[in-house]
Amino acid sequence: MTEQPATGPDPRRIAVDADVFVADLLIDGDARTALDVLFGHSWLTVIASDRVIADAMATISDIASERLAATWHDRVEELHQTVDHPDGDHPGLASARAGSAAQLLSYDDRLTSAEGGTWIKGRVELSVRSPKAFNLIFDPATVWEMVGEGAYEGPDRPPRATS
Amino acid sequence: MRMSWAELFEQAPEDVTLDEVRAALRAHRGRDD
Repeated sequence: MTEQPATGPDPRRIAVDADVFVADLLIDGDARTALDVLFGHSWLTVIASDRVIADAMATISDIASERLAATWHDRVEELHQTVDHPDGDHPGLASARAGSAAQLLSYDDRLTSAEGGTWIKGRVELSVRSPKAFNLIFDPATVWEMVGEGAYEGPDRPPRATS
Repeated sequence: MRMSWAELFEQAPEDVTLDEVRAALRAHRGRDD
């Protein structure tokens, strides 16, 4: 088992697992809605290890093409913060832990189930949610009230659809 | 020139399902459940 991070979870930091990145690119729907919110705010940080990104690229290559995976990689590089973690841990979970994230977005039902939540709670202070559940509860304005100064003014980056 | 996100999304194949994504990732990560 690896050590706990020195700092506690930060509500501005959200880890994203590989299946959510892939669903964002290939399916749209809840995953794209969730990542549009995260990428739309410069003060929110998307956390993912190189392993998570590599897993997403491999999955995109399997379903679509290596070319699309490489192009996606070029774009996503600028929008996330990379963290390192030991091999062997669940990459999404380990990314969240290493990055002091308060939440992890994942479709892995080992992590999002009630049993999985109990398992995780005993190890890290982390909420693991599917994009659908995240979209229902996450409000950037509420996070801004905790960490920002002045009034919440909405997204401060252009929508991805126009960038 | 770098591809825009909108162009990137348009390159995605149609009719990909979440089950397909999850299965492909599980296979890549060595899980067969």
